[in-house]
Amino acid sequence: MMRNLLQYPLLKIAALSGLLAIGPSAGGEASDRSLPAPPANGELGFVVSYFIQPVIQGPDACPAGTVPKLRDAYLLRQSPEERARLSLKENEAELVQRWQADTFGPGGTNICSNPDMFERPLIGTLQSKHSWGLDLDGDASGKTDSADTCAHENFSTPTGEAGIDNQEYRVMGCTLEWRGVDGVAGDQEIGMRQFHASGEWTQVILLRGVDSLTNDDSVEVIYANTPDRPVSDSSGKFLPGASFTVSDKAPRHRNVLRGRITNGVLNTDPADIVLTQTWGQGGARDIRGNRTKYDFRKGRLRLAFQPDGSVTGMLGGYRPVFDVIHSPAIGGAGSALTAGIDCAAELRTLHQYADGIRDPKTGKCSGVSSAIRIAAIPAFVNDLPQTARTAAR
Amino acid sequence: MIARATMRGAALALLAAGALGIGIAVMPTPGTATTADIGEPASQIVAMRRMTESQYRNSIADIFGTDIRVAGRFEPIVRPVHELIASGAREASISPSGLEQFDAIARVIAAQVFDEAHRDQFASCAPEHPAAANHPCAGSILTPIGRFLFRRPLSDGEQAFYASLANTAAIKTGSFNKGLELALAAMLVSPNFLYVIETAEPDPASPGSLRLDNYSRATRLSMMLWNSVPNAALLAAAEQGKLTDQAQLETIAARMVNSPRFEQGLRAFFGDMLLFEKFDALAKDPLIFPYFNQDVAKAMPEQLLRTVTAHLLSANGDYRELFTTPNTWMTRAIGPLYKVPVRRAQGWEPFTFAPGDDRAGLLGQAGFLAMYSHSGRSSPTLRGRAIRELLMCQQVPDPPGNVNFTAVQDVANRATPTARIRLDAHNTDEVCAGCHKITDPPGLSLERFDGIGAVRTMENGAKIDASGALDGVLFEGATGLGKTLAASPDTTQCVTARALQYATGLGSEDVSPWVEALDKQFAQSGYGIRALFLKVATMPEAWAVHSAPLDKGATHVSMSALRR
Amino acid sequence: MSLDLTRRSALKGVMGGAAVTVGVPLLDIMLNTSGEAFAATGAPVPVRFGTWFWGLGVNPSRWFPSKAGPGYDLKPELAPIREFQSKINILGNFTVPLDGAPNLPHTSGGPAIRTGRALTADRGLPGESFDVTIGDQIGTRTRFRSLETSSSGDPRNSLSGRGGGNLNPSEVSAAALYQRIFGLGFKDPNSASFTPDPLVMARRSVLSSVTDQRAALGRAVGAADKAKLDQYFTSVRALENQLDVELTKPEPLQSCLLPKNAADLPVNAEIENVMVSHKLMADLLVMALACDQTRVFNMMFNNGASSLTRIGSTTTHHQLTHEEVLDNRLGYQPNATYFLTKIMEAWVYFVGALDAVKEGPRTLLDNTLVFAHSETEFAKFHTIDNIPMMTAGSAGGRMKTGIYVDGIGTPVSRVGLTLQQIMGVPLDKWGTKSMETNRALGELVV
Repeated sequence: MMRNLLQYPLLKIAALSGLLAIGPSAGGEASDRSLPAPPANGELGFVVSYFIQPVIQGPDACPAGTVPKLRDAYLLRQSPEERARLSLKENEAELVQRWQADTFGPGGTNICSNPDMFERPLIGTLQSKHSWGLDLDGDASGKTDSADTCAHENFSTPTGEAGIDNQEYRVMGCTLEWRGVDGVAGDQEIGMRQFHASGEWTQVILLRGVDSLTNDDSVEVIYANTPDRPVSDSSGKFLPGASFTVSDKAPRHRNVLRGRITNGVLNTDPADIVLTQTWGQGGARDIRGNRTKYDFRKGRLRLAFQPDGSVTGMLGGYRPVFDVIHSPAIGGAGSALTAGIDCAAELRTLHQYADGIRDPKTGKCSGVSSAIRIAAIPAFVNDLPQTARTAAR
Repeated sequence: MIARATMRGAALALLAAGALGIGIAVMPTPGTATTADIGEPASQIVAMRRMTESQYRNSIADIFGTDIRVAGRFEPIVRPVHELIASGAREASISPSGLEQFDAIARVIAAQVFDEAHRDQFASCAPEHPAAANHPCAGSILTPIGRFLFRRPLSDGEQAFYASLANTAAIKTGSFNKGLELALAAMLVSPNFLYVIETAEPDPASPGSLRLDNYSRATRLSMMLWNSVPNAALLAAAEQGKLTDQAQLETIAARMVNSPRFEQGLRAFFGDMLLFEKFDALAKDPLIFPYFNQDVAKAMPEQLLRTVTAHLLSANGDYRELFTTPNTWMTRAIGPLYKVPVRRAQGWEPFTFAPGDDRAGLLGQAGFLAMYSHSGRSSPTLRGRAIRELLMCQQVPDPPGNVNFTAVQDVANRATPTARIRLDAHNTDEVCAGCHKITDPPGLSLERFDGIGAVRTMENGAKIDASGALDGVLFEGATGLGKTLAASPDTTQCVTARALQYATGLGSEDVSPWVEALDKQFAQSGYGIRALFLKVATMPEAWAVHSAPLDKGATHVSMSALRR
Repeated sequence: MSLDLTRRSALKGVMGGAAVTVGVPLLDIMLNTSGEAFAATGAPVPVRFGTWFWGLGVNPSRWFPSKAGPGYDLKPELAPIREFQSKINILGNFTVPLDGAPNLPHTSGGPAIRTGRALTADRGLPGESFDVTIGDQIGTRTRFRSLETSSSGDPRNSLSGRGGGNLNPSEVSAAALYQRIFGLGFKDPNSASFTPDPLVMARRSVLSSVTDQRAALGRAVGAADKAKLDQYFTSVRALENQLDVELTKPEPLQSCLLPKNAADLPVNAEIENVMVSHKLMADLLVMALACDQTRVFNMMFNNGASSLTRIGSTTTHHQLTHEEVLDNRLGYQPNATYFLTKIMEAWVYFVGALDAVKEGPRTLLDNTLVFAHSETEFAKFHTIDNIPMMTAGSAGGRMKTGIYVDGIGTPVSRVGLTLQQIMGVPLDKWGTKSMETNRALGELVV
C-alpha cells in the first residue's frame, strides 16, 4: 500500500531499489534455485501482483533534467528579456494567465484533449543506453525499417541483454511523472502500485498443459481480466491462494496465447494482448472515469518461474502512440492546468520515435515498443472460455 | 413467518366478535385501566427465561415480517460456567441500560409496524379521524398482535389495558397511530414478551403435582426447535389442549423437527453449545496471520454451521460422523485460508477435503482451530480443553492464578521451536502438568494447523509431531482425533445432555439422571439429530415441573380458567 | 460532595438560595459526584455532536502516530494538537472498500465515511449521513436540528443530508450565521417558558402502566424469578426517571452569553480570509451550543478538492497537491503542506473554543463529540484508505479519549457505527456491502 511507501520513505527506498536491481524480476530470467514440481493436471493459475513500466534511475538517463512543465516550457519559448520580466514575482499573475491561456485553442479545445491541434517542440528524450524490456523485432541493430517496424535505436538491459525495444521509455523516461525528482521513483511508480492495489483491473494468468516448469515446448496461456478483487493483507499486499473467475462481462479481455518453457522461462508467441485499464478512477459521467484498455500489438510475455511458486518478468509489445498519453488526454484541461503536462509535445515526440504498427502504404509507424514489468503470485483461476451469451448460441 | 393473512384474519375475527358485542362489553371505560384490570396471571409461574437476541429477532421477523428492522444493542445473557446460554437465560435479569436499549428497540419496531407502509397489514380498522382516539378499534388491532407476542391469548384485563393505553396515548399525542405505536412498544418491553414465562397447572394424571400448561409447551417447543415464537397452528394446538396429550404432542413435535424451520433451531442450538458468541470478539495479529480478516471471521462460524446442518439434516447423518466427515462448504472469503479453489464468485459451495489433507469434521475446520488459539499462535491446551468441555462435557479446572507462562509463550526461543516442546518445558512444573495432561494430548494432534487453522508442517523450522492421545487411545493428526472422538461414549452423551439443557433451561446436574437412557435411544436411532430432539421434545420427564416451592401465600389459579 | 439529603431535597434547598442571588454561576453542588448531571433534576447535561471536515488529507508519514493506543506520539503535522491531546483521538488505517464503485476523486471518501456506503451517483450522498441520524436522536428539541457551516464559501460544500442529491446547505457567512442564530427568533433559553414534549408525556404514562403489571406478575412467581422481576421493574423505574427529567423545565444555561454581531467578511477561499471566517463561525457555533440552540453542527473548513489559495496566488491547494512533485526523500510537498498547517491550526482553535466554555466541572468540549475527518489519505494519488480522522471531546464521558486507534485495515464504517452508538442511536450494524459492520471500536467506548 502506498501509505507505507510514504510513511517509511528511506526504508522503502532500499526495498524498492533492491527490487529494481535484482535479476529475475528485472528481465525475466530463470532462477537457479529449484523450481516447484509441475502441477498434476498441468494447470497453473496466477494473479498479477505488480504491473508497472520499469524506469532505471541514474545520472546518465536525463542529463538535462526532466522535461519542463507547461509553465516553464512557455517561459522557454519567450525571448530572454520577456522571460526575465515574466519571472518577476510581481508579474506572476500575468505569467499564469498567459501560459494557461496558451493551453487552450479555438472552440473550447485544449492541449490535452486535442493534442494534435497544438504545435509544440519535441520533448527531451532519454539519453541512457540502458532500458528494461524485450527484443520485440528480433533485429539486433534496429537501424533500418522492416515490413512492420521503423528504424530506431535499441537499448541493452543493465544485465547485458542487447536488442531491447522500448521507445515508450525513450520518449517518456525523462518526464517528471516517470522519473521523479529524488533518484528513487517517479509518481507513476507509486501511483500505479496504489492503483493496482485497488483491484479495479485485476489480471489473472492461467497456464494449461504444463508438464515441466523447466522445459516444455507447448503451453497454453490465458491472460485475462477478472472482476474479482484480490485478497490482500492489512498492508495491501496481495496474498496467494485466492480464487478468481475470468470476466464474462463486457469489456471481456481474455487473451489466449501459445508459449514454451525453456530453462525455467516461459515465452509466448507474439499476439495482440488487450487488457482493461481504468484511468483516473473517475465515474462514468466524466472523462476521468473512462474505461480504456491496454493494447499491446505483437504482444508477448516472458515469465520466469520462481522457487516460491510465483512468476516474474515482462509484458512487451507495440502500443498505439496515443494510448501512452491516454490518461492526461482524458484528463483534458485539468491535466494541463493542474499537472502541467504538455500532451501535444509528448504526442508529437511519440510519433517521432514510433517504431511499430507500420502502415504498409505510407511506411509510417504509429506505435511505440513498450515494456511492463510484471509479477504474479499463485491463485486459482476459473476460466470461462465462453461467456454465458456465446455459450447459449 | 406467521402469515400476515393469519394476523389479519384473527383481527377481523375479533372485530366481528366486537360487532356482536362480545368482548367489547367487558372493556372498561377508556383511560381507567388499573392494576386490577390486568388479568392476574395467577397460575403458577415456574420459570422465566429471557429471550435471546436471536429469538427476539426471529420473533419480530415471524410476527411482523422480515422488512421490520430490529436495530439496537441487546444486553447479553451471561453464560454460566460450563453451561449453555439457554441455562443462563433462566437467571438473566434486565439492567437499566439493558431496558433502555429494549425500549429504544421496541420504539423503532413499533414505529415501523404502524407506519404508512405497514399499518394496513396489521390494522383492520381506523377511526374516522386519524387524530382521534378509538378504543374498540385499538383493541381489535392490538389483541391479536399481543397473542403472538405473549405467545398466549391476552386476558380480558390485558386486552382492556392495552386498548386503553393506546387510547390515552392517542389523546396525549393527538394521533391514533401514535397511540397504537406506544401501546405496541409497551407490549414489546413487557416482561410477558421479553421473558419466556412458563406457567404450570395441576396435573390431572398425578394429583397434587403440576405440569406445564399448553401455551407454555407451545412456546418451549417453538423456541427449542425453531428458535422463535409459536406460529398460528401451534398456538391453535395449545388452545385445543393438544400439547398435554402425549400422542398429539408426539405428532406435533415430529412435524416440527421435520419442518425446514428446524434448521434455524439447530443452528441456534449448536451456536450455543459451541460458544459462537466468542466469534464476535475473535481477533488475530494481522502481521502473523495476514489471511485473517473480517470476511474470514464472518465465514468461520457459518462454515461450521453449514457442515452441521448439511450433515445432520440434509444427509440425515450420524452425529458421530460430524467429527470424521471430510465434507464441508467453501466460500471465496475463506478459500484462501485453506488454499483451495472456489468456483462460485458469490455464496457457498460444497467441498470435500482430500484424504491426505487431515481435515476431519468440525475439529479440522478453521472456525474451531482459530477460536481455540491465541491471537498470534496456536494452542494445544485451549483446543484440548475445548474438545473436552464443549464436545465431551468434561470439566477442566482453570489454571491457578500465579502461573509462570514464560516457557509456553517463548515462541522466539530456538531451543523450543514447537508447541509440544514448549509445553513439555512448562510441564516440568507439576502443578501445571496435572491439568495439561488432560488437555494437551488431544490438542497436540491438531498442531498441523496454525492459529487461524491454516495448514503447516513446520513450526520455527522444526517438523511438527501431530501424534495425540485421548483417554488412553493413541492416534495421529486431526483424522485420528476425529475417529477417537466419534468412538467415545462421552461425545454422544454430551450432545444428549446439551439438548436436554437447551430445551428446559436446566443445568447439567439437573438433567444428568435422564442422559444415559436418552443416549441409548439416540444410539437406536443411528444417532440422528432429529430423533434426539424429538425425544427431548416429547419425553414426559422434561415436561415435569421442577420448581422450588412457591412463596407461601401464593394461590394456584389456572390461567386458562381465568382467560375464559 | 456529601449531602445527607436526597438529591431532590438538596435541590429544593439550593434553589431556594439561588432564587435570591440571581445569575450565580452553575454551582458544583448542583452536580452529582461524577459531574454527570444537574442535581436539580437529575437531568443529564445535554450532549452535543458535530463534525469538522477538511479537504485533501495529510502527509501520512508526518501525521499519523506510529504507536497505537493511549499516549500516542505526535508527528510534526499533528504536533499542534498537543495542548488537547488528552481529549483527542486519532483514527487511522481504516479502509473504504467501494465494491467496484468508482473512486471519484475527492468525492467518494467523505460520503463513504458519513454514510457507510459507496457513492455511485455523481454527487450528493448515497444514504443518510450519520450526523443527521444522530440529530434525530439528540437534536429534535432544540431550535435548530443542526447547523451547517462552510468557512471557505460555497453553500453546496456539505456532507450532511438524508441521501440522494440533497445536501443540507452550509451557511457561508459568519454575519449571516449570527443573524440566523441570535437574530430575530432567538429565544433566550434562560428566560424562555417550558413546554413538555407531548410524546414524552405519553411515553411516560405508558411506562408507568408497565409498572402496574408488577403486582399481578409478582404474586405468581417463586423467589428466584421474583428477584429477576424486581431488577426488571427497577430498570423501568430508571427509565421513568429519565423521562421525568425531559418533562421538567431545564436548568438555566450559565455559560450562554449572547455574542456581539459578527463582522461581515468577504466570502472566498483565500486562506487568510478563511482563517478569520472560521474563527468567527467557530465562536458562534460554540455559543449556539452553550445556549442550547442546537446540539448538532457540521463545519466544513475547506472543500474536498480544496480551492484554498494564498492571497496573491492563483494556484489552489488542490492544484499543488497534484502539481508539486513528491520528493520521496523529503516525503511530502512543502507548498501543499502549508495549507495543511493552517488547517491544523484552525482545528486546534475550534477545539480550544469549545474547551474554553465551562459546564460544571467539565467543559463544553467534554460534553460534545466532534468528529473531524478528511476525504483522502494522500491527495496526490487520491488514496481513500487510511483517511485521517479525529475525535475531540468525550460526549459527556461516554467516550474514552487520548487514544490512537489503528483500524488494521478494517472498514471505516466501524467509526460511524461507534459514533452513532455512543450518541445513543439504537443501532447494531451499519453500512452496506463490504462496509456493513457490527464491530464498534470497543477501545473507545466507556
